[in-house]
Amino acid sequence: MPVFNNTSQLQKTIERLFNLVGEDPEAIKVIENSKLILRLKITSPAMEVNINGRKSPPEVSYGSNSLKPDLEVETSADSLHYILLGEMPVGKAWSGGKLKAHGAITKSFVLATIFHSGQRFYPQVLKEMAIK
Amino acid sequence: MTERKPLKKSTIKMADSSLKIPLGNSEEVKTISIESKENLTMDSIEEQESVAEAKLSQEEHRRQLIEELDQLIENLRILQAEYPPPSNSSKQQSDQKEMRSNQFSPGMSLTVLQRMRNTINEDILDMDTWRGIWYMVNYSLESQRDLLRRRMAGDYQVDEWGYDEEVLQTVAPFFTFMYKTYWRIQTNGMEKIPGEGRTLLVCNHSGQLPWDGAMLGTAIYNEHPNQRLVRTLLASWFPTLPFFSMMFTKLGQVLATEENGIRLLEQEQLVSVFPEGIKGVSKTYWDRYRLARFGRGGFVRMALKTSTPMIPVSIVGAEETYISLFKVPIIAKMIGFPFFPISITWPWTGPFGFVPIPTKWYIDFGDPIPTVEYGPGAENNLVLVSQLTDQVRNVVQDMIWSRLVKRKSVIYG
Repeated sequence: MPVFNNTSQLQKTIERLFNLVGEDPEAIKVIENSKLILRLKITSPAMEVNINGRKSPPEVSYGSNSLKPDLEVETSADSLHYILLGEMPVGKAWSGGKLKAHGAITKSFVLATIFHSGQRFYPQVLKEMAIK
Repeated sequence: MTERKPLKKSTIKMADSSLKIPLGNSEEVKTISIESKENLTMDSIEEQESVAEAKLSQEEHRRQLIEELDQLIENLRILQAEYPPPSNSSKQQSDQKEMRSNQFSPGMSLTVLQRMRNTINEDILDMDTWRGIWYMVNYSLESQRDLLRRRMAGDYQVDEWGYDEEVLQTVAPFFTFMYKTYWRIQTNGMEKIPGEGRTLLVCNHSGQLPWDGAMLGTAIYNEHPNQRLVRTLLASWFPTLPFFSMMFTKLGQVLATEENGIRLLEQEQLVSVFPEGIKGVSKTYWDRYRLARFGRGGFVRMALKTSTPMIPVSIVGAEETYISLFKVPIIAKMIGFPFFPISITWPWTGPFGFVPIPTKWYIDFGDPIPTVEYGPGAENNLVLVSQLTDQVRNVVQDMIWSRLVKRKSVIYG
């Protein structure tokens, strides 16, 4: 059974999560210093999150845009849910093909920071959204 | 013989004013006469009082001791910050690490610390992580192979100017290497370039080969928040070069004519011009950083016709990439080149003469010079065109001098 019932629920959850990540000074600092354009492509349901680290403070936008990302990550909503809960290690997600990355892989430490920051706030977001 | 009765081990009775203390098993008792009852009461009160006093003083002592200890703790807390921890303690080691990381630039320190932090991540010990990396490498190779297949089948798109985004993405890593690692280019004033809309960048030209144009485009593509593509107007000689003419077009560069410039600006593109042209790029080392004439003001006419703001740009560091000693016009005419330089490495070292010197570059963006205030038809005012051309040239020259004054070393900046 999928974790998210529809796109709207996923969007609200992800937006709330990134609002909280956006208040994490450590995550902001790493993203700003990297000056990367990141894209997180979520499938089933579909959603795109764009993080523009070239702006100060970094700008998060949703949906497709014309910017070419330096690093693009593709994963399903369920896989993202389990990664953020810490139930699926990022390494296992990679090896199982559940997390695909394109672009400057050497800069993926920025993603690690975002995931770690997301893992801190995700349980709180799930409670707020009443998702089990 | 009478039997001795054992004495009762009873409490001492004080029925009378005497105190009888039994001694052993004998019937003997020691009688201690004591004073009267009143005296006895007073003594007990005094004793009690003295006990109370003793207790009070003990309490006071205890309180005083607590106060002294608190004060001592407070003093030690203050001193703790200045206290040098013993060598090889974890605090000493972390202080040393912090001191060493502060010796590097903030960017490098961040990279080092992030990598250190990531190495202690438990994922690195997980075999699945390595499988995942292998999976990703395979996936990247597969996507590259698919890209090649599509390109060979002609299945790709270009815009009306010939710009091919996939070619740009393919060569971007090389240009980024030259930008970040080889020349370590530092930009200032990137925020003056608007996020969208028509803008004309007016730059000085130098360095024998058009690396400055390539690096300007790389700087803006890599660092501007809106990842803007720079359309450089190329001198008419470049399209005559085999292979390079095609590459320039695929990378979005356009032949330098007034019509092309106006059309690009009307499409709200970011356009760059190098008005010194061949004269600028072919300067010898002795004339470095002295701007040549800025043409006949064609770029000003373009800006006035389209009401485009002009941003002066100075590029310092490109002049010293090839040390041109003098030019040989005869050889240039023979081979159809606009100029033939003789440098310290060319042509003596053959193809190695094309390897540029790794100087430190600075790209500075000046304040925009607006043109909308001049109104329509201003491009026909030759005096205005000439004045604005000189104004822009002077601004760029001043920016170059300002940067040269601050620069301490050609290689290290």
